Amino acid sequence: MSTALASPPRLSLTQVLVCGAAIVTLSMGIRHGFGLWLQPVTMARGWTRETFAFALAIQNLAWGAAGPFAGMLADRFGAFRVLIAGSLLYALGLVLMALSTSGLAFTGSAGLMLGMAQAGTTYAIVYGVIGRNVAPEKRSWAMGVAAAAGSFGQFLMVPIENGLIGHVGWQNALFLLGCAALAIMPLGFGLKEPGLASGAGKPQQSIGAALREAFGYPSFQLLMAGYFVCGFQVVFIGVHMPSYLKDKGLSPDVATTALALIGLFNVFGTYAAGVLGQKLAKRHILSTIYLLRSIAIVIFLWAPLTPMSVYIFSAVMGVLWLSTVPPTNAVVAQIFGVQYMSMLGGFVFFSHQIGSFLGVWLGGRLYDTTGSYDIVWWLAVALGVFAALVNLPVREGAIARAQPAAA
Amino acid sequence: MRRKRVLGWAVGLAALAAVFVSYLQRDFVFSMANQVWSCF
Repeated sequence: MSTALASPPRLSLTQVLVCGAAIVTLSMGIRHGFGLWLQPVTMARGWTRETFAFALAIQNLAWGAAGPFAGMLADRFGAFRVLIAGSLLYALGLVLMALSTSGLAFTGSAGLMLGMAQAGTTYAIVYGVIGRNVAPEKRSWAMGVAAAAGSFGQFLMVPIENGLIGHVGWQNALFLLGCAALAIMPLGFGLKEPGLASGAGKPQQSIGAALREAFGYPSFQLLMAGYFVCGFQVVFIGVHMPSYLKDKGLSPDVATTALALIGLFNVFGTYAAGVLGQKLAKRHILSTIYLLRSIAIVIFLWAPLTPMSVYIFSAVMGVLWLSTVPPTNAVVAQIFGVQYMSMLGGFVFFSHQIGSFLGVWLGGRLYDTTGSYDIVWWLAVALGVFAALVNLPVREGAIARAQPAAA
Repeated sequence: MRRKRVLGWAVGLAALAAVFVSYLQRDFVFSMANQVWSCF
């Protein structure tokens, strides 16, 4: 394979997995419970919900938009430098989020700063290290382990953050989370790649050439299109399902148990997708995930709505939730090699975040216009079928590159 | 090696079960539900 590791693996598998998994557990976990601050922050500051929601929307977009640049820096100068900067920005953003007294300052801290911090501490950065240091025959599995750790972090941190707000107050809870974000720093040192850190490894391809190659390659565009759908479906369901269930007259504990089931089964689903990625064609895994999501939504909409039907749907969607992450990133590594994996992963993730933004926004917008979520549910079904189809022709083999002429 | 792997899975599953149980506590469920729903 022409795009295999540029040099032999430099970090041990255990070190990469332990540090990488702990980093994404923290970075994904801390952000996942931000909705819990809506009530105490808006009450304490006298803001409207829109002020808070706008900051979180900016956070999601900043996370996506900064991802390619954070990835570019990680690929060029070493992931650990980006992780350290990301950790500091994360901690600072949380402290300033607690201290912001104007909507603008809150948007800058909770929105922009935390979004950029997430770009520097989440999957794309850690996956670059995994790609460069884990042999191809174990790479998808290792990505599954890291993704499962991120899923576990999301699942774990919501009750912890809720408990912190209750026991120490919303401001102190943010300060404590800031301290937790600083723990990413020492873990980042565990992902220090000697070659990249010293700048010893000369890049075989320029950043511009890598970008031209990726964006000119149809399979990359198809992967981006599929990941857009992932973001749309996941965030629409995560954000709007509680109010959908409320509209249908179900009790509040059905909604929270549903979210708990999604979180629980998400851990198994992401790990399983990583394991399956070692054995099956990743485009088939992705296509199946998107198709199954559509089928699950159709059955959910057509079946009588009861607590049990909600729980079954949540468990199924949980298995399919972030299970797209390991195969999507593993395909990127397979096609383009690992030299610019974080950067290319960042671009694919940007597409995911645009989908996420549209999922939240369109869900709310169409609900306000039509008084129902029906159109968005069926849009999610149609997009799932579209994503299942566009992933099928993805070419997983390494891209053919002309050999550079001898000097 | 096998024992280590079994132990790893057991610890992982116990952690997941513990977190899941925390979601099922009535006080927590209602407190979280109220806050999550107040987003809409």
